[in-house]
Amino acid sequence: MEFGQTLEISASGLRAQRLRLDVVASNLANANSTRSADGGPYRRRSVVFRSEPLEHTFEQTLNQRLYDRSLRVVDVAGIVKDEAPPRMMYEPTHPDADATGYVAYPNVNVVSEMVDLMTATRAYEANVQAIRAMRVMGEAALRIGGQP
Amino acid sequence: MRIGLFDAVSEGLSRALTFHQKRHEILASNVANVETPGYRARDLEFKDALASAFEAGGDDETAPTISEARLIDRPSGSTRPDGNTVDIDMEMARLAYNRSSYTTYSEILARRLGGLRRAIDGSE
Repeated sequence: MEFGQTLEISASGLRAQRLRLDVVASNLANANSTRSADGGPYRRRSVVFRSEPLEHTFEQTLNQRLYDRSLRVVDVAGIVKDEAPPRMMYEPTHPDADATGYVAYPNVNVVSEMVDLMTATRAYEANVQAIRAMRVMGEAALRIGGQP
Repeated sequence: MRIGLFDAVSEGLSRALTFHQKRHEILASNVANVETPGYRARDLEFKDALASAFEAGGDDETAPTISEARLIDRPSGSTRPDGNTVDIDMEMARLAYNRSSYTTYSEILARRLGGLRRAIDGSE
Protein backbone atom coordinates (compact mmCIF):
# COMPACT_ATOMS: atom_id res chain seq x y z
CA MET A 1 0.00 0.00 0.00
CA GLU A 2 1.43 3.29 -1.08
CA PHE A 3 0.79 5.24 2.07
CA GLY A 4 3.16 8.00 1.07
CA GLN A 5 1.16 8.82 -2.02
CA THR A 6 -2.20 8.92 -0.25
CA LEU A 7 -0.75 10.89 2.60
CA GLU A 8 0.74 13.42 0.22
CA ILE A 9 -2.64 14.07 -1.38
CA SER A 10 -4.44 14.56 1.92
CA ALA A 11 -1.54 16.52 3.38
CA SER A 12 -1.69 18.92 0.45
CA GLY A 13 -5.33 19.51 1.35
CA LEU A 14 -4.41 20.15 4.98
CA ARG A 15 -1.63 22.52 3.99
CA ALA A 16 -3.88 24.47 1.63
CA GLN A 17 -6.69 24.83 4.15
CA ARG A 18 -4.29 25.86 6.89
CA LEU A 19 -2.88 28.59 4.69
CA ARG A 20 -6.42 29.72 4.04
CA LEU A 21 -7.00 29.90 7.79
CA ASP A 22 -3.84 31.99 8.11
CA VAL A 23 -5.14 34.41 5.50
CA VAL A 24 -8.55 34.64 7.18
CA ALA A 25 -6.81 35.29 10.52
CA SER A 26 -4.76 38.04 8.90
CA ASN A 27 -7.91 39.61 7.42
CA LEU A 28 -9.70 39.51 10.76
CA ALA A 29 -6.73 40.82 12.69
CA ASN A 30 -6.41 43.73 10.27
CA ALA A 31 -10.13 44.46 9.93
CA ASN A 32 -9.50 47.96 11.29
CA SER A 33 -5.92 48.66 10.19
CA THR A 34 -5.99 51.98 8.42
CA ARG A 35 -2.29 51.96 7.60
CA SER A 36 -0.28 49.41 5.64
CA ALA A 37 3.19 49.09 4.13
CA ASP A 38 1.98 49.96 0.62
CA GLY A 39 0.04 52.99 1.86
CA GLY A 40 -3.68 53.27 2.47
CA PRO A 41 -5.72 50.82 4.51
CA TYR A 42 -5.09 47.07 4.66
CA ARG A 43 -6.63 45.19 1.75
CA ARG A 44 -8.42 41.91 2.19
CA ARG A 45 -6.45 38.89 0.93
CA SER A 46 -7.80 35.65 -0.45
CA VAL A 47 -6.20 32.38 -1.46
CA VAL A 48 -6.46 30.89 -4.95
CA PHE A 49 -6.22 27.09 -5.17
CA ARG A 50 -5.03 25.09 -8.13
CA SER A 51 -4.94 21.31 -8.61
CA GLU A 52 -1.63 19.80 -9.60
CA PRO A 53 -0.73 16.29 -10.74
CA LEU A 54 0.93 14.23 -8.04
CA GLU A 55 4.70 14.08 -8.43
CA HIS A 56 5.83 10.58 -9.30
CA THR A 57 8.90 8.61 -8.57
CA PHE A 58 10.74 7.22 -11.57
CA GLU A 59 9.31 3.77 -11.06
CA GLN A 60 5.75 5.04 -10.91
CA THR A 61 6.23 7.10 -14.07
CA LEU A 62 7.51 3.99 -15.79
CA ASN A 63 4.37 1.96 -15.15
CA GLN A 64 2.00 4.83 -15.04
CA ARG A 65 -1.58 3.80 -15.41
CA LEU A 66 -4.94 5.37 -15.79
CA TYR A 67 -5.57 6.17 -12.14
CA ASP A 68 -2.11 7.57 -11.54
CA ARG A 69 -2.63 10.37 -14.00
CA SER A 70 -5.78 11.47 -12.31
CA LEU A 71 -4.37 11.88 -8.81
CA ARG A 72 -4.27 15.54 -8.01
CA VAL A 73 -2.79 17.34 -5.05
CA VAL A 74 -3.97 20.84 -4.27
CA ASP A 75 -1.55 23.69 -4.55
CA VAL A 76 -1.79 27.36 -3.70
CA ALA A 77 -1.67 29.35 -6.93
CA GLY A 78 -1.32 32.60 -5.03
CA ILE A 79 -2.65 35.01 -2.48
CA VAL A 80 -4.49 37.85 -4.15
CA LYS A 81 -5.53 41.23 -2.82
CA ASP A 82 -9.18 42.18 -2.99
CA GLU A 83 -9.39 45.34 -5.10
CA ALA A 84 -12.82 46.29 -3.77
CA PRO A 85 -12.98 49.90 -2.53
CA PRO A 86 -12.31 50.54 1.17
CA ARG A 87 -15.10 51.20 3.65
CA MET A 88 -15.40 54.96 4.18
CA MET A 89 -16.36 56.10 7.65
CA TYR A 90 -16.91 59.66 8.74
CA GLU A 91 -14.48 60.27 11.59
CA PRO A 92 -13.04 63.78 11.29
CA THR A 93 -10.94 63.43 14.46
CA HIS A 94 -9.13 60.29 13.25
CA PRO A 95 -5.48 60.98 12.31
CA ASP A 96 -5.97 59.16 8.97
CA ALA A 97 -9.07 61.14 7.99
CA ASP A 98 -8.95 62.77 4.55
CA ALA A 99 -9.82 66.41 3.78
CA THR A 100 -13.55 65.64 3.90
CA GLY A 101 -13.27 63.90 7.28
CA TYR A 102 -13.65 60.33 5.98
CA VAL A 103 -11.38 57.50 7.05
CA ALA A 104 -10.66 54.60 4.65
CA TYR A 105 -11.09 51.34 6.55
CA PRO A 106 -10.04 47.93 5.14
CA ASN A 107 -12.47 46.22 2.75
CA VAL A 108 -12.77 43.31 5.18
CA ASN A 109 -16.26 41.98 5.85
CA VAL A 110 -16.07 40.19 9.18
CA VAL A 111 -19.16 38.06 8.47
CA SER A 112 -17.83 36.70 5.19
CA GLU A 113 -14.44 36.09 6.84
CA MET A 114 -16.16 34.00 9.51
CA VAL A 115 -17.93 31.99 6.82
CA ASP A 116 -14.59 31.46 5.11
CA LEU A 117 -13.08 30.42 8.44
CA MET A 118 -15.74 27.78 9.00
CA THR A 119 -15.52 26.46 5.44
CA ALA A 120 -11.76 26.12 5.74
CA THR A 121 -12.13 24.33 9.10
CA ARG A 122 -14.61 21.83 7.66
CA ALA A 123 -12.48 21.21 4.58
CA TYR A 124 -9.49 20.65 6.89
CA GLU A 125 -11.49 18.12 8.91
CA ALA A 126 -12.54 16.32 5.71
CA ASN A 127 -8.89 15.81 4.84
CA VAL A 128 -8.18 14.57 8.36
CA GLN A 129 -10.99 12.02 7.89
CA ALA A 130 -9.36 10.84 4.66
CA ILE A 131 -6.09 10.31 6.53
CA ARG A 132 -7.93 8.49 9.32
CA ALA A 133 -9.58 6.18 6.77
CA MET A 134 -6.16 5.44 5.31
CA ARG A 135 -4.89 4.50 8.77
CA VAL A 136 -7.81 2.14 9.40
CA MET A 137 -7.19 0.49 6.04
CA GLY A 138 -3.52 0.15 6.79
CA GLU A 139 -4.22 -1.47 10.14
CA ALA A 140 -6.67 -3.88 8.47
CA ALA A 141 -3.99 -4.79 5.94
CA LEU A 142 -1.52 -5.50 8.75
CA ARG A 143 -3.97 -7.97 10.31
CA ILE A 144 -3.88 -10.14 7.18
CA GLY A 145 -1.77 -13.14 7.95
CA GLY A 146 -1.31 -12.09 11.56
CA GLN A 147 -2.32 -14.10 14.59
CA PRO A 148 -6.12 -14.31 14.83
CA MET B 1 -14.56 -26.33 1.48
CA ARG B 2 -11.24 -26.62 -0.18
CA ILE B 3 -8.85 -23.79 0.34
CA GLY B 4 -5.94 -23.56 -2.00
CA LEU B 5 -2.83 -21.70 -0.96
CA PHE B 6 -3.07 -19.18 -3.74
CA ASP B 7 -6.48 -19.82 -5.22
CA ALA B 8 -8.68 -17.54 -7.28
CA VAL B 9 -10.62 -16.26 -4.28
CA SER B 10 -7.54 -15.12 -2.38
CA GLU B 11 -6.26 -13.61 -5.57
CA GLY B 12 -9.57 -11.87 -6.18
CA LEU B 13 -9.62 -10.56 -2.62
CA SER B 14 -6.15 -9.13 -2.85
CA ARG B 15 -7.05 -7.44 -6.12
CA ALA B 16 -10.16 -6.03 -4.50
CA LEU B 17 -7.92 -4.64 -1.74
CA THR B 18 -5.66 -3.02 -4.31
CA PHE B 19 -8.68 -1.55 -6.02
CA HIS B 20 -10.09 -0.05 -2.82
CA GLN B 21 -6.72 1.38 -1.94
CA LYS B 22 -6.48 3.06 -5.34
CA ARG B 23 -10.02 4.30 -5.03
CA HIS B 24 -9.13 5.79 -1.67
CA GLU B 25 -6.38 7.78 -3.35
CA ILE B 26 -8.79 9.11 -5.96
CA LEU B 27 -11.36 10.04 -3.31
CA ALA B 28 -8.69 11.67 -1.13
CA SER B 29 -7.68 13.68 -4.17
CA ASN B 30 -11.29 14.85 -4.56
CA VAL B 31 -11.45 15.86 -0.90
CA ALA B 32 -8.13 17.73 -1.09
CA ASN B 33 -9.43 19.68 -4.08
CA VAL B 34 -12.81 20.55 -2.61
CA GLU B 35 -12.09 24.27 -2.95
CA THR B 36 -10.10 24.23 -6.19
CA PRO B 37 -11.88 26.15 -8.95
CA GLY B 38 -12.58 24.07 -12.06
CA TYR B 39 -11.58 20.76 -10.45
CA ARG B 40 -13.61 17.81 -11.74
CA ALA B 41 -14.39 15.00 -9.28
CA ARG B 42 -13.20 11.55 -10.30
CA ASP B 43 -13.89 8.01 -9.22
CA LEU B 44 -12.87 4.45 -9.98
CA GLU B 45 -15.38 1.82 -11.05
CA PHE B 46 -14.53 -1.81 -10.74
CA LYS B 47 -17.70 -3.48 -9.58
CA ASP B 48 -18.72 -5.09 -12.89
CA ALA B 49 -15.32 -6.52 -13.64
CA LEU B 50 -15.00 -7.84 -10.08
CA ALA B 51 -18.48 -9.38 -10.04
CA SER B 52 -17.94 -11.22 -13.30
CA ALA B 53 -14.60 -12.50 -12.06
CA PHE B 54 -16.14 -13.99 -8.92
CA GLU B 55 -19.02 -15.48 -10.91
CA ALA B 56 -16.60 -17.11 -13.29
CA GLY B 57 -15.24 -18.54 -10.05
CA GLY B 58 -12.26 -19.74 -11.75
CA ASP B 59 -8.95 -19.33 -13.26
CA ASP B 60 -6.65 -16.39 -12.97
CA GLU B 61 -7.19 -15.62 -16.62
CA THR B 62 -10.54 -14.05 -15.84
CA ALA B 63 -9.54 -12.17 -12.71
CA PRO B 64 -9.75 -8.45 -13.35
CA THR B 65 -6.80 -6.18 -12.94
CA ILE B 66 -6.66 -2.61 -11.76
CA SER B 67 -6.07 -1.35 -15.27
CA GLU B 68 -9.57 -2.59 -16.09
CA ALA B 69 -11.02 -0.32 -13.43
CA ARG B 70 -12.62 2.55 -15.19
CA LEU B 71 -11.77 6.05 -14.17
CA ILE B 72 -14.87 8.17 -14.39
CA ASP B 73 -15.29 11.88 -14.51
CA ARG B 74 -18.24 11.88 -12.19
CA PRO B 75 -21.25 14.02 -13.06
CA SER B 76 -22.17 16.03 -10.02
CA GLY B 77 -25.64 16.87 -8.74
CA SER B 78 -24.69 20.44 -8.12
CA THR B 79 -22.33 22.39 -10.28
CA ARG B 80 -20.91 25.31 -8.43
CA PRO B 81 -20.24 28.60 -10.18
CA ASP B 82 -16.47 27.95 -9.97
CA GLY B 83 -16.81 24.78 -12.09
CA ASN B 84 -15.82 22.47 -9.23
CA THR B 85 -17.87 19.25 -9.20
CA VAL B 86 -16.89 17.86 -5.76
CA ASP B 87 -19.83 17.10 -3.44
CA ILE B 88 -18.07 16.96 -0.10
CA ASP B 89 -20.83 15.06 1.72
CA MET B 90 -21.06 12.42 -1.01
CA GLU B 91 -17.28 12.24 -1.13
CA MET B 92 -17.05 11.58 2.62
CA ALA B 93 -19.76 8.91 2.36
CA ARG B 94 -17.87 7.19 -0.46
CA LEU B 95 -14.67 7.44 1.55
CA ALA B 96 -16.33 5.75 4.55
CA TYR B 97 -17.95 3.09 2.37
CA ASN B 98 -14.69 2.41 0.57
CA ARG B 99 -12.89 2.12 3.90
CA SER B 100 -15.34 -0.44 5.26
CA SER B 101 -15.19 -2.43 2.02
CA TYR B 102 -11.44 -2.55 2.36
CA THR B 103 -11.67 -3.62 6.00
CA THR B 104 -14.22 -6.29 5.10
CA TYR B 105 -12.14 -7.81 2.32
CA SER B 106 -9.00 -7.78 4.42
CA GLU B 107 -10.90 -9.43 7.29
CA ILE B 108 -12.14 -12.19 4.95
CA LEU B 109 -8.64 -12.69 3.62
CA ALA B 110 -7.23 -12.78 7.16
CA ARG B 111 -9.77 -15.43 8.17
CA ARG B 112 -9.01 -17.55 5.13
CA LEU B 113 -5.35 -17.45 5.94
CA GLY B 114 -6.16 -18.12 9.60
CA GLY B 115 -8.11 -21.22 8.58
CA LEU B 116 -5.20 -22.33 6.48
CA ARG B 117 -2.84 -21.84 9.41
CA ARG B 118 -5.04 -23.95 11.69
CA ALA B 119 -5.12 -26.68 9.05
CA ILE B 120 -1.33 -26.67 8.89
CA ASP B 121 -0.83 -26.48 12.66
CA GLY B 122 -3.52 -29.03 13.33
CA SER B 123 -4.55 -26.90 16.29
CA GLU B 124 -8.22 -26.75 17.33
